[in-house]
Amino acid sequence: MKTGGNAKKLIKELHDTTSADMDEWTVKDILRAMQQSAKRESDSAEPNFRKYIIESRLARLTAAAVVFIAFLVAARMFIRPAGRSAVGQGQESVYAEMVKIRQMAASGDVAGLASMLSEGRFESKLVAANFLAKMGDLPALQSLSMHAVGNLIIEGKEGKLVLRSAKGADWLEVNGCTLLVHKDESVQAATKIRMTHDIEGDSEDWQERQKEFRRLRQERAGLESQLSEPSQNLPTDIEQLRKRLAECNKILDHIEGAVYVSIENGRLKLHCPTYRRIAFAELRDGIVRVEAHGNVVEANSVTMLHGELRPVRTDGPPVPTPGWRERFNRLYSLDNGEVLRWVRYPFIPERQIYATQVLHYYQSTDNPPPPGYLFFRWDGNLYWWALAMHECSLGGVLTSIGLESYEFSDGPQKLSRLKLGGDWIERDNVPIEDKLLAFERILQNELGRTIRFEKRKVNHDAIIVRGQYKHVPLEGVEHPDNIYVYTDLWKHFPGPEPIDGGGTCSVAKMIEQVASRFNRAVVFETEGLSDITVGYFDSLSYSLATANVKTAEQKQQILDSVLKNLSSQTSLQFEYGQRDTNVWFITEQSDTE
Amino acid sequence: MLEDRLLVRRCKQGRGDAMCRIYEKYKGYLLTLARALLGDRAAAEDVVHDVFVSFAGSVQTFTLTGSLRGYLSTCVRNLVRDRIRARRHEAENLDSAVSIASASGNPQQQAIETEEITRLRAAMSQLPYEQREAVVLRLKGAMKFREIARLQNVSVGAVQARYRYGLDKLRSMLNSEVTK
Repeated sequence: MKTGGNAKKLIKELHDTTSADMDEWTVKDILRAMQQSAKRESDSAEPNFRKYIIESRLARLTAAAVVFIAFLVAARMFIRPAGRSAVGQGQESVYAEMVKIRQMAASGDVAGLASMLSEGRFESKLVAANFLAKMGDLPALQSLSMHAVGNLIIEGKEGKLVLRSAKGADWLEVNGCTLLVHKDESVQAATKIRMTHDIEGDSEDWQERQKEFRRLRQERAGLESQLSEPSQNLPTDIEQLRKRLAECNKILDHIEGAVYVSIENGRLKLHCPTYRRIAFAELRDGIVRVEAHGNVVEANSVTMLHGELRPVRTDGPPVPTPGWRERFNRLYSLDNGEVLRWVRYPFIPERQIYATQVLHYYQSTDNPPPPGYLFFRWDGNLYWWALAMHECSLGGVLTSIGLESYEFSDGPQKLSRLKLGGDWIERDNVPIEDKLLAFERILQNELGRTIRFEKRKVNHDAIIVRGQYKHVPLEGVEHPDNIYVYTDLWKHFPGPEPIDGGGTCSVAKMIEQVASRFNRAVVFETEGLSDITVGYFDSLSYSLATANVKTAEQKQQILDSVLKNLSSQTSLQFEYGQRDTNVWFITEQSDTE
Repeated sequence: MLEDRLLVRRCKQGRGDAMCRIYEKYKGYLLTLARALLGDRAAAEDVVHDVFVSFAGSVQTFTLTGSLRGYLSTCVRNLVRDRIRARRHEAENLDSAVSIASASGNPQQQAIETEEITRLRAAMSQLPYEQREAVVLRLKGAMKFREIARLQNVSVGAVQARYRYGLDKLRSMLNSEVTK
């Protein structure tokens, strides 16, 4: 056994994982430190303000006014009836509440979740409400009374789509192209309905606001009456009256959280102008199908939460159960010696829990659609690397495992477009040859297709880089110490700003990424560019241009412009040429071969 | 993927989720580094905790010029060195950091690790600190000799020598144990 020879390898393989306890106390301390830091920053600005205020009489008067107003605002904020969450609590308490809510949801604690609806912060109320809705506990949701919002329930009844408010007894049904409104035991046909919800409030200023609402409603009624009755003497400027009516309607829509319901192309359309949200609902084979801004929910009963018309299932789908992470980890991991894993459809339910609970930005929506595919890296631990809303293709897997687009080539079969629905996990720090070999085996085993990746030398369009790197900062940009990848030729947002993304990497890697977008190889006829680390920004002009140019001529013009701008910032020279490059050819062998 | 630069910018805006993402991203790597340098898991956890808390406390004024991973690695290395210096008052010199590095980890942790790794940790704890640092930063931290030289305030040649001697010693210790 030659262990000594493996010392280097063993050191590279060393890996420690943090314990749950450590994570908990470290995150807690980190958030506290951030809060204190933010506070220190605001405190540290005080002396400069003081100096300015003391020196200027006008500033002294302004400061006095600001302090007075701040005092009044603070007094209003603090003198509130009990039971409403205080504004401006730190992130730490939000975090703690979110953790608490998730634990309650995991253990099925309906009573605890319901208590969060009255005790929690606004964000917590939303999350708790969503969990309750998912658990199908609508009675508990009734206690949710925030702002001018409520819940609309859509369900199927005797083959017809029915819409009702969770708070009221009125309901409407879709009858062909007409809406039938059932109100006070009478039925009325309509083509467009304006729905509002009960508004409940418990603060002192609420009564004042109610008076204002009443005044607005009276004014609107008066205006409508004037405009609808031709017998009356109308003022000469009818347009002004209409304008005022439109303003009244707009304000009332906002304060009442109005939702307009109509029929469009055979589907029920719900439109909330306040939040600029539109949802469509229809009944398909007895199942309610709601579509709202790309989010599709199918269930026996769907609740549209709040004025934002967020649809959630209300017929009891699964909630996070204890031990979901272990079950997820069992599937989303690599065994010893395994280089690549394809987790195919159908996904396990724990994947959606992972998406909503672990992928942080994904938590912002109530009922997110499942990701199309997730890509992970593995080195003993799982690291989420990429997410896309579309289905993964063979070409997508190749770029995810590290090939630039010019490094693989499609045959006439267009195999790179082959759909490979599911998630992928790759082992970190493995040569590309090994990954491709593993990929071939997976395709053979899972699909029965003999797809091969064969490396050939090809004379390829290339960008030749020469000269010595020296950073020349751009003038007039927000971050002059960074390199901006941009073009002046794109019609929208030409120039370096606004930015669309960016990162930190070596100069060589940055140039390779640019070249890859134009399907070019890169030849470095200079040294040391891999050792220089730079921060760079992809400008919006560059992103839009590379995504939208159609012709080869346009593409060339954009590349010329991008390289010219890069050259002026890096002092490097770029030339075009042809060079022999290694390219992986994708081919498929038939069974008879 | 959220790049480090964007994450740092979000941290500056007071976004706790961005800071948590940075923690999630680098906690394992930094813990491995700290433990390889210190040899003691509990002490390594403290170091990683302190590095992140310190980073969170200063993020408002922090400017990312290189890679965040490199920056955090340097913080870990500096803090480890501070810890060892603090203990030097109790021991004789940096080389006696061996005393901290002995009998590391809890039994459960040791059981999880392979026999090879356990012996490697024991062997590393026998290396003089400067050599151990050169080996770990080079192999685990993927740092260049030039960067390690700047950290250790010695020439590149000296770092290369420390790295070579360290690795030779490790090999010899591991081989000798095997033949026992």
